[in-house]
Amino acid sequence: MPTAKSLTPTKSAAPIKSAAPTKSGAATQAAAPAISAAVTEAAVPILVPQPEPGSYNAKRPAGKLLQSQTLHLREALIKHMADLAAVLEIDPRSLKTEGEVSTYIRRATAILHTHHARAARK
Amino acid sequence: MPPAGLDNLKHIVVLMMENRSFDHMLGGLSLVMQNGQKKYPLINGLTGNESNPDTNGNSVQVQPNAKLQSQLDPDPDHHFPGVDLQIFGGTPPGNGRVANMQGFVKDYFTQTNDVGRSHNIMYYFTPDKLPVLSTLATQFAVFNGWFSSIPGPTICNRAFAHYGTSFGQVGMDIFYILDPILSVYERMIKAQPQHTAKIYYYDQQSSTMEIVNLLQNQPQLFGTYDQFISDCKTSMLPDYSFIEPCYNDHSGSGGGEILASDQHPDHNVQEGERFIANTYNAIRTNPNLWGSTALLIVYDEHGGIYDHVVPPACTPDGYSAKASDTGTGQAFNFDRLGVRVPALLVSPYILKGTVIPGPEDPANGRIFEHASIPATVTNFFLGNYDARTAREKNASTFLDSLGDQMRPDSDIPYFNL
Repeated sequence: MPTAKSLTPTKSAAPIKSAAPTKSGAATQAAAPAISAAVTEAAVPILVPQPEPGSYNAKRPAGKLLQSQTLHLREALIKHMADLAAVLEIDPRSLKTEGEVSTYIRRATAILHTHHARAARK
Repeated sequence: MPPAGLDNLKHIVVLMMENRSFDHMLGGLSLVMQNGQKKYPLINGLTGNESNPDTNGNSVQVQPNAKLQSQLDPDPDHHFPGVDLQIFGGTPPGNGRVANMQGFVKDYFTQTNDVGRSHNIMYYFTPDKLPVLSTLATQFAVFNGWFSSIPGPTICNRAFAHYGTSFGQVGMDIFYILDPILSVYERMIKAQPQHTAKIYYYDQQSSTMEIVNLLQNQPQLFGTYDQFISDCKTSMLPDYSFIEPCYNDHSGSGGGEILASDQHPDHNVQEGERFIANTYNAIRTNPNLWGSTALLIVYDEHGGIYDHVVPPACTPDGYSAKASDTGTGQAFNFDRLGVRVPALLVSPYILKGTVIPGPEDPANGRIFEHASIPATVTNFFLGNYDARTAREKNASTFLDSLGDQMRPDSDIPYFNL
């Protein structure tokens, strides 16, 4: 099987840049790494610049990808609502046997479980 | 006996970014000189002479003028007919036509209606503009031959990363899983012994692109990016993790501004760099994870941006898209790949400066695409598993570059955010 090739070990191609002291829009950051005593060039911290102020634009027109995402979410919601509607159409007082009751409980629990699992992530 | 890198491997993490081509992001590495010679001679990037004709018939060369934002607006076309034009230069489908990668500028003109702006599609980043991606590409492994799975847009390409097929879709429409194909996540959690797998999306306002089949029916497979960071800190990472970046600019739950980090044009590329660096740091800074985790960073498709490598043929997945769905007047049998994208593999068991050869090396080169993701994860964690497409079964797996020697901590880059 062909193997990967390795370049001659060279210095890092990436220059060190200063991060602009601006607000970060990034998510929770990973912990800062401990700096090894034996620092080589590869281990020199590479500063990652922040985006320029003014990069944020929530008024940017949504592209086709985001529009598709909302359509897919709507499709999922319709399915979810259909499942809910189907269960709500059943009058619990009409359930006579333990088998009928258990089926109702299973369907209702599954819907509630899904709802609460999503709510818990908020 | 497997090399120590594979023997110690417990976690595979895949971070899939959005819509940038290999040459646009990494092609400039081939133009870096040192002592009068190419510093990275094995990387199949740009020579600087690549060109495309514009709609006036003028030749437009690649230029190191890519900007971090505000340059690729309107969004370059990356739907099936547009990508067909980009790859075949405008020669209509039919027997004997030859792919030449000569239609990128022409196609971007259809979006911009401006000859000058249509040239932007040929711009690439110099490595200093992308310190994170360039550093990881030169310090770990870069793939010369990783292609998007379909010459088309996001949703169908991402489907290949989850299922090894898009079930016949070449666009952004909703698709449904067809038996007996399961997502790689469901394969993992249904296996005996059971494995763990999760899709981490950025937050509720960005959510996931895998809605109809997985978010709707398998909500337990999902977590947020904050949970990913927490799972890294507490060494609770699943066997397999798939990370989705933030897909839109939005306000944070506690105020503040959250920038899209997916690098989809025209989102800020630097924020994507920070997201990649943060993900890398989360693994890098936990000694329990660092030696037992392989991180693949890959882009879902090229986003309509120029790359010079002709996409190769591939094993069909058994589906066919009708001519009415492709928009080209011809059916598509999933027998050739989409445009090449950046792909990097990170592990302390990978030699610095590793380049995985691609189609430029007929003797040793290997072709990768997004079906390589479920193929690798399934083969590594589950072994023999039959219920998948021929495409996935024949896909190259990507862990071969993990060797025996773990590089010392002092030899490993890290990022200050």
